[in-house]
Amino acid sequence: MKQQPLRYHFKIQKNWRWKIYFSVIQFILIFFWSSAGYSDNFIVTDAGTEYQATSKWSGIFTASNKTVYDTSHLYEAENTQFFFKAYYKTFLYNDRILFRIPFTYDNGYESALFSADPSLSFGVDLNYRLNSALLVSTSILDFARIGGSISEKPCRDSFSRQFHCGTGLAWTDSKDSHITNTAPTQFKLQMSLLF
Amino acid sequence: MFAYHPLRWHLLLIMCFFLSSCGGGGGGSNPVTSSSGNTVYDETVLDDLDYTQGTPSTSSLSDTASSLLVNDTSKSILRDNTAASLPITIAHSLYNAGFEYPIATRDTNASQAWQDGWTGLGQIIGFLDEFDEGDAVGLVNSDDNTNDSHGEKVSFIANSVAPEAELIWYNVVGQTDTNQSQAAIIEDRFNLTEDDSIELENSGALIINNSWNTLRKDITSDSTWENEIAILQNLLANQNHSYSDEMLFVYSAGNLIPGEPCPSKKLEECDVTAATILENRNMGIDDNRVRMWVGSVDSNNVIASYSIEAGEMANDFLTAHDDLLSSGDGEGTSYAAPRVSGAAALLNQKFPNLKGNDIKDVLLQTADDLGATGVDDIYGYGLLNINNAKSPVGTLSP
Repeated sequence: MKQQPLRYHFKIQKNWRWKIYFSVIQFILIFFWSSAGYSDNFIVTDAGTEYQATSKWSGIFTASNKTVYDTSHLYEAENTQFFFKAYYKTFLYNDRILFRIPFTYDNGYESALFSADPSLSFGVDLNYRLNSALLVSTSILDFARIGGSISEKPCRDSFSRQFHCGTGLAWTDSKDSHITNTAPTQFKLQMSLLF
Repeated sequence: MFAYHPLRWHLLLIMCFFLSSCGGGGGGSNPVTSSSGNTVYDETVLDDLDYTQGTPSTSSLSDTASSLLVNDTSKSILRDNTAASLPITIAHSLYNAGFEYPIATRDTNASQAWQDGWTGLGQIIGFLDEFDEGDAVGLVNSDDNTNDSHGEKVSFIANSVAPEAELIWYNVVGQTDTNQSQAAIIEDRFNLTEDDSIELENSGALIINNSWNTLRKDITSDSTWENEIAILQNLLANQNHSYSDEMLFVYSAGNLIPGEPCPSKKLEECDVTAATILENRNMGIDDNRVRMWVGSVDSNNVIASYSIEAGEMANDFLTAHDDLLSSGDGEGTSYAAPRVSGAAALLNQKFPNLKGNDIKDVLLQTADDLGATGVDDIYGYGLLNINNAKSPVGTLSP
C-alpha cells in the first residue's frame, strides 16, 4: 500500500497581520499596566465583553412579502468580543501641562455575514494651566483609527439569489444600508476659570 | 523592575502606532477605509463575493414612470370600447383618474419594485404578436404613433411593468392565413415563430412573450386533435436549434367564448402547444426551452370567465390581471402574459445569475395562492405578485 505523504495545511486568515499586531499591543499594554510603577498613568474608563465599535445586524428581518426571516445564526459572533476604553496621562513642564492620550480598543467581530477588524482609536487631550486661575483644555477624540474595517457578505436563497440578510433587500439594493465605521473626529476647546 | 521615565511611554505608544499602521497596508483584499473615514470596498472583495448582481436603474421614479408611458404625448392607444385611439396621456387621465401609474403597474405591485430600481434596465423582451405594419415580416421598427394593434397593446402592458426594458417586436400572428386548415396554421405559426425566436435570441432577448395561441377548433374529432399534436411533435422533433437556458417563453393561456370549442377549459385539452408539450413530457421527451402559461383573473381575483385554466399544466401556470387601461376593461389572457414577461425582466435585471427555469420557478413560487390551497388545476400557482418575488425563497445560507 502506497504511503500517502503527510500534508500540513497552515491557513492564514486575511486579517492575520492585524491580529498579530494587536496581540503584541495587548501584551505590551497589559504587561506595563500591571507594573506598579505605571498604574497611576493608565486609567481604564470602560470595558466590556461585547463588540461596540459599530452597530451590527440581528439577522431578523421582514421581507417585502411580510414574511419574517430569522437568520440570526448567520450573524452570531465567532470570535471573542471585548473592548476597553482607557487613557494614558502624564504631566509635562513642571506639571503645568496634563497630557492625555485616550484610546479605545475593540477586538472586532467575526460572523458568517458581518465582520469587523479589531480597531484601536486614539485621541489627544491637552490641559494647560496658564496661571493659577485659568485652565485651557483642548482635545481631539478619535482623530486616528487603526483597523476597524467592516465587511458584509450576502446570503443566498434557494435560487442562489443574493440578499442582504440584515435588511432582507436584494444585495444590490442594500448598499446604502451597509454598516460603516465612520465615527467622527471630535474637537473640543475649553477654557476654565479656577476659583 | 522598570525605571520610570515618561519618554519611554511616549516612544512605546508611537512605536505601537506605526507598527499597526504598517500592517494596514498589507491587507490588499480587505475592505479599506477611505480618507474621509467611510468604509469602501475594493475590487478584490467584490470578486470574492461572486458579485453577480444586476445594475440598478439610476432613473428617478418619476422619470421611470413618465419616460415611456404616461406622459408620452406622441403615442395614442385604442381601448376596445372606444371609437378611436386616444393619446396615452389623455387615456391615462381619463381611465386612471387619481392614479400615478398605469393599471398593470399597480396590479402587479411593480411600482414598489421600481422604488428599488427594478425597472427592467438592460433587459430585452421579445414579442411575437400581431402588429399593424401590414404584411411586413420580421422586426417591426416603424412607429405609427399609435398603440392600437394587438401587439402594441401587449407591449404597452409589459412596458407598464418594466418601463426601462427594451422591447423588440416581430409580426407573426398576422402573417398566418387563418382560412387554411388548422394543421397548416400550426405549421405556419411554428415556422414563423421559430425563425423569429432565434432572431430575438440573437438580438439578446431572454424573455419571449407569446400572446397568441393555436386553440383546438374541433372537439368532436379526437383524431383531428391527435393529428394536430402529432404535427407539432414532428416539428419540434426536427427543430434543431438549442435555445439558451437563460431564456423564458411566456404564453398567454388563451380565451374561450361560451359556446366555442373546448368547454373543459383545461390548457392541455385546448391549446395544441400545451397539449404537445405535455404529451412529449409523458413520453420522456424534453422540451428545448423553458415555457410557462398565464391565465387571467378579474378584479376580484377570480379566474376570468374566458380564461383557459391550468389543468394538468398547473406546474407551468400562473395568473395575472388583464386590464388594459382601467379596472374592469380586461381584454383577455393576451394582456395577462406581458405582465409576467415584464416581471421576468425585472427579476433578470436584479438577479442575472438566474436561468430561465429559475425565473419561472421564482415567479411561480412567489405567486399569491388562489383557489384551492396550493397548486391547483384552475389557477396553477396563483396570482403574479412582483413584490413577493423580491423576497427570498426557501432557506437562506451564506
